[in-house]
Amino acid sequence: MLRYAELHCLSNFSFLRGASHPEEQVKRAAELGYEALALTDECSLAGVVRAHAASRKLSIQLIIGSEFKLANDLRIIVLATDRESYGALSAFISCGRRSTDKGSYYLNTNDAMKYLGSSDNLILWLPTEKPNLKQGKWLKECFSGRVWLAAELLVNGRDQHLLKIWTKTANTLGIPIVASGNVHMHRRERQMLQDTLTAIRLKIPLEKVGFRLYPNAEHYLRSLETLARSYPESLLKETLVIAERIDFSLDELRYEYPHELVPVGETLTGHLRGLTEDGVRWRWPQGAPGKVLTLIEHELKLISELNYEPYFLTVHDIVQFARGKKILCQGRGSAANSVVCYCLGITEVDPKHMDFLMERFISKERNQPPDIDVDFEHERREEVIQYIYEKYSRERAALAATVISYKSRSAIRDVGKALGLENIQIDALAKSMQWSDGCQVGWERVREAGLDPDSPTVRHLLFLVSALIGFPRHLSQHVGGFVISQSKLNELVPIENAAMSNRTVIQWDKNDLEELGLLKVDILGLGILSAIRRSFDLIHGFYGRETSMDDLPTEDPVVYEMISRADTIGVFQIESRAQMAMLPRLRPRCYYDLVIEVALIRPGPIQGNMVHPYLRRRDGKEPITYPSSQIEEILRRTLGVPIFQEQVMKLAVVAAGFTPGEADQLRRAMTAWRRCGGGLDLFEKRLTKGMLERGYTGKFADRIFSQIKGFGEYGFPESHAASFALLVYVSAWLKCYEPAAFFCALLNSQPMGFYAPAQLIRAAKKDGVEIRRVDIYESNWDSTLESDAHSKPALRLGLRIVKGLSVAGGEKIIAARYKCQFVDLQDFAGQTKLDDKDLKALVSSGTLESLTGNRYRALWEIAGLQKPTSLFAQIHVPEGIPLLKAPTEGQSIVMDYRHLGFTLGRHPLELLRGSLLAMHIEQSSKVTELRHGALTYVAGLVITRQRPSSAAGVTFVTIEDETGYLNLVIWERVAKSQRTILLGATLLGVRGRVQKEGNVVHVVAHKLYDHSTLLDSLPAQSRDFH
Amino acid sequence: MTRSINSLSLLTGETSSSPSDSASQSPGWRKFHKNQLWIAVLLPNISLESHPDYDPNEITVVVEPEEGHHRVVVANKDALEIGINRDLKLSTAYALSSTLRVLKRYPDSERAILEAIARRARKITPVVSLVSPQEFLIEVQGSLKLFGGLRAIKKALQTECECYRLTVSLCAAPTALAALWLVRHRSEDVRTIKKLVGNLGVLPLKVTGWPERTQLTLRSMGLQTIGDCLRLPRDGFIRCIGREYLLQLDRSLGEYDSSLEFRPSQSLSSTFEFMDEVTDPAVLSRVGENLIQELVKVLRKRQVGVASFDIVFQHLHRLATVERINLLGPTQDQERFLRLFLDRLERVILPAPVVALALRTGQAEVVVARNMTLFSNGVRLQPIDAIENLIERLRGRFGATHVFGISFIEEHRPEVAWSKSLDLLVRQNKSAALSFSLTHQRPLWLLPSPIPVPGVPNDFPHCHRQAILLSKFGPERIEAGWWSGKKVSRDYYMALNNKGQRLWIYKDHYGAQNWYLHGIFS
Repeated sequence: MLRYAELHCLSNFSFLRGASHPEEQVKRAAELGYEALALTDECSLAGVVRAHAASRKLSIQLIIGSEFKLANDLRIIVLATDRESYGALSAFISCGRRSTDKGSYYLNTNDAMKYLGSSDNLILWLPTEKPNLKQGKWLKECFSGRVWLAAELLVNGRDQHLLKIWTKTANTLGIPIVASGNVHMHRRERQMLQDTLTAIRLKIPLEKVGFRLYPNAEHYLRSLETLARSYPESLLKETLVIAERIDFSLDELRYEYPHELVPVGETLTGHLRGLTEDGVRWRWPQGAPGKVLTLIEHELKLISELNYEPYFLTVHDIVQFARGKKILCQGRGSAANSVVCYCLGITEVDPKHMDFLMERFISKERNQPPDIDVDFEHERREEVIQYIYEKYSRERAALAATVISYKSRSAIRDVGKALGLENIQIDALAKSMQWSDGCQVGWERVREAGLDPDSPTVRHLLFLVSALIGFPRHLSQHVGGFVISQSKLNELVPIENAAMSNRTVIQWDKNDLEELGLLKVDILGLGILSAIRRSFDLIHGFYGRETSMDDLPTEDPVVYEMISRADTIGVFQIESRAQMAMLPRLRPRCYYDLVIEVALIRPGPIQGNMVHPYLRRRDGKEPITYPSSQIEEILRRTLGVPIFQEQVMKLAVVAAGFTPGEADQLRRAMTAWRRCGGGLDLFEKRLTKGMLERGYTGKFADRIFSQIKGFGEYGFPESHAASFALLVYVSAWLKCYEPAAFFCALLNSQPMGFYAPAQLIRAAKKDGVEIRRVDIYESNWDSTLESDAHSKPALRLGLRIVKGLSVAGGEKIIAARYKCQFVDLQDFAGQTKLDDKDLKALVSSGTLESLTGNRYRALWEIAGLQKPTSLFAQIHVPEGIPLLKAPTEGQSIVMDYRHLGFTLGRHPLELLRGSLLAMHIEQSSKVTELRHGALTYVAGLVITRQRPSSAAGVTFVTIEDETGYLNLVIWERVAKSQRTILLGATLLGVRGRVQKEGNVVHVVAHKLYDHSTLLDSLPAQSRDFH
Repeated sequence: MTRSINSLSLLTGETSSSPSDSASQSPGWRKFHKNQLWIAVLLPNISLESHPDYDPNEITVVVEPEEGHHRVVVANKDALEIGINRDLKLSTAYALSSTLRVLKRYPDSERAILEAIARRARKITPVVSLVSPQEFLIEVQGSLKLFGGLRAIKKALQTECECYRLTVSLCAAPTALAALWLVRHRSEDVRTIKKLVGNLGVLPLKVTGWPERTQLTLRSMGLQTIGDCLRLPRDGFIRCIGREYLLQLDRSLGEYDSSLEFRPSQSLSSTFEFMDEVTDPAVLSRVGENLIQELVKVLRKRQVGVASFDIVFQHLHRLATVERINLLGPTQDQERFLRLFLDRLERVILPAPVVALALRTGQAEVVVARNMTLFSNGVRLQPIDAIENLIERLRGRFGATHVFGISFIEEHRPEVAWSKSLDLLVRQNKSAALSFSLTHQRPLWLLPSPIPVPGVPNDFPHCHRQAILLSKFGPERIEAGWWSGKKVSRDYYMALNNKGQRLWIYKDHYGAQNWYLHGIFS
């Protein structure tokens, strides 16, 4: 029986070359009965973890290697034989990747000598048709005893000729010759895709690619019989000689967390204990309750047993740095809400509010690394990142990668171009994918794009697009996942340059790290933290009192009252459309209600149909029952409805007899299910069986499983929700008691959150804040607080709000105004030395009206304004006075919107109300007075359009008129037939039916109208129009 | 024998880039000559209506690329009805109609038709000026009487455009710019200078065609119409907006003469009329020679060359015989013209005696003349010239389509790896294709289409009765071409038949898996 090991196989992580996923390659090789498969992506180990995971369940040896083309055109494959040579290979790749731009590599023979010369890597030489003997000799000299000549026979008509030449060369050099397959795909059916990828890589249509395409489909994993026909037996046998010399698996990779965090003479455990005890004294100055101390002992014991001290110390160190720099931060994630983390200052979530058990996050059986994400102020996160790079050096710290994969739109664009379709049609098809489910290209969309679904090209297009979706396209940087190690990181995993300068990323993404059990710390940016810190600074500046997150009074009923009214524009997490609709129903009364609110209104629980049962039970409309007391323990906090990811996992353990490890696999499968479908069936059977065995009903099992499916990626862990809920409370408190400071801070932190400055300013006004317009004498760059008539804070808009004004321009104005008073526009321009663009931005936004009267006059004056030359500086030639009308109110409003994004004047619809009334269009405030089911006709400016994937084709639109906001529900049928209006209208009119549930009012649309043209008539509306 | 005129005939007009340019650059502006009347002709839908693929029964738009997407230039009536307007993005248009027919703009045919109509307008007046791809201007003051007034002239123009099934708008005004701006707003005629200010004043700024940025500046100051601009102080207007725009306003009002010249490009023709009927080829060749000499003189003087010419033999009472001669490129080489003329004269069969011989050239194009030696006698032709001459003469004899070259194509499928090429002079750089066919043993002679080899069993025996397979070569597996709908999947082998010929054969992987003969090695 023939035995064979494939030593040259590329996956789709050799971007735009390989046409199969690493998993597919491994699986197919195992099916074919290969002894081993070497995954040798070009200068990359990005795909090896996936291959490793796939090979675990199969009886096939996975060899780690990589293909290279050196600067002298020498092509080699390097295979790792042990941990040390793997390190050398990884460092070699890092060197090649770091020395040039993202996406390419550069390596020469010296690099090869330096990194591979003394390790035990095996080298396969890939000679050309006329082998370069000099290169062969060099290889033999440098890597004596571990070089082979790889003969790749791919039925190109000259196989025998080539074999003869290569054999001769190998004999001359005295190196062995071995068979390999230059595999690019797992089955020959992938040839079309492989050809297409080549065309995409070369950026030319397929018909012009010519000889750069492979002539046939032989670059696949061939059956043993075919191989036996193609190669002499000795060459095939030699592959096993190589495979046997390799004794390395990725499972051997372990890395140590940095040691330097422990002072000399202290142990890890001792140091962590010391820090925790300090924390206890800080958190509980009067002494901690006994329960807390017991918990701490318990947690410390667990941490020490699993050797996770360095991880906690690393996070502590980063958080300490941020605190030192006054950067607000907060930890969240599985381990973050432990008492130890509370003591270390990693989180502010007081354990007394929660009912956490450490095991839920760090489990001995699972041996899964703890996960702590730390959120920092989004604008100052970079400081933290650079601190980490500096402290641990780039050799020891790097960001995790994110694999950017093909989505339907990108796939259509690339495949369309490769097939030579007209750009017009590709665009049309790609754009029509907006708001589609992303995985399938429907016939309807194809027809809509003017393509004939029956034409062969279109068939090819659809076939190739569906095959290409999900293929990795390139590596990007993870939002903030840091990997830090004690020894050199580049010997653990290759490091490459990111597109952003000053950033380096490793070649593995977060799933890969998790798969191998490697630790990472997530350094994330969170806008609300910036806004909260700014609010505190503003409060300090205005009242002179210091405030911090833990100073705020907890559980303030006034704050909860405001939240229950859904008066939450600007408040973290609960400002979205869906959240606002839920608040009046849920009526949060305490911190834990906020935790539930944050986790409940997510696509996962919504799809899993958990929202309404929870609400009914909360309102007492449905009895709260538990199938067993065990389950009651898990679900009591959420009234018997599983809302958090942890609960689902726990259910699987308790009710279906899963081990914690299996439950974790279930969690992963849930994530994967959302991404690529399938893979859950196995768990379904197991879950149902387990539950039935333990006496639960089939119905119960079905319900739990459908909830698990709905969860998918969107399920929210309780630990995250707990941290977020704290920020919800803090931001709500600020909005409630210090609205001026809060909205001022939000405006200064833009862009962030759901709403644009216009809505924030409106909300601030509603909360009684006086808004003062931008003023060249008073405004700073940021918005500020000024004292109003009652010594309360008023919000002075900052120069940053003027669209198109540069930061430098703002600085010039501030610098110039301290020197002198401006006489007129000419003087202002001269003193500030602003460029035309800045001047125009100021003038158009009406900021300079105090200097020039109206905007039209100002624009006339600045148009073609020349910088005075010194010679003629004093000479003013009088010019004729232009006959310019003053802008009407409507024109001013239009210009405000265009150049500021909002107006402090009247709402545009107030001016148009006359015409709207004539069309029988009602004000939105009137709609709330209508009864449930009444017909109405309303119109408003479109503020947001959302089509959440969880909402089964429903589009949510928020419109605004002079009396407030109104939420529209647009069912798929209406959205489909009136797509253009829905997507295009600025002023949207809607006929529909009022839907009322408690205090929540929607209008369900029957027909949409585009009234945008009415806005064009706005400029004609005169100032005294009523 | 009498010599007739050696004339220039104006065939086509050249667009002056914009009416503003020529005037603003001309050094001396003259006070406007009051007695002018201009008609502006606007063909708003010409890019649609002149499109060769246009079918009025379908919902159709013409689009043009713009910053990464396509935008509608013109939409037909059906399209307008369902809300597809000019300037709409194509993707939006598709969303409005799934049966939309999209045509790409076809500037050549547009221009051809515009020029044709402009040429016809020259019957009315010599002053015809093409302004844009859809507009031209004519000055008709002098023709009013002859053609029976403005209305009649407009009627005539209208009829002309309707012949081409074009939608047309016409407007007359005493200045060219005013006429143009008025027609863009579909305004009424303005006959006197006095009425110009009032009529122009109400026009929106858009009609000026000024750059979007300039218009935006004006609009941002609340200025909407030309009248708003006229009210502004002149010095300020120059500072804010620019001198050239003020000049345009002045010219539209007749402050300055906007003498838009119709600048023609040329083709040349010359005729020689005989006193009586001629049949003697010697006479024809001598006269032809003279005509060519004259032509070359004119060409040299103007530094232009021509790439084609017609020889027109005129007969009494019957249609002229016209022989078209195409060259490989524009030239002014007398020898070349003459040789081709004589070659053709030898072969042409004239149906009747000739009364006049004419030479009519194609478009004259600017050529860079080669350096000549002082004494050109005995100068040897460059090899490239020699080949050009040979090709031209061969084509002259056998017809242009019967002389072609071969070009290699980078392609794995043998049957599409080469093609006939009419462009013989394109040098093949030593392409990958060529070196490929040398390393891969390919026969020079490929059969026009593969011939099935009958009676050969599926597994070709290594020693068949008629042929043996040469095992040294092959198999060469070719699987390619799926994207063109002509996918091949074959294993090629070399075989030796009993005549000692080396054959290139393949086994088809499709269908019955038959064997085919595809080529024979020399």
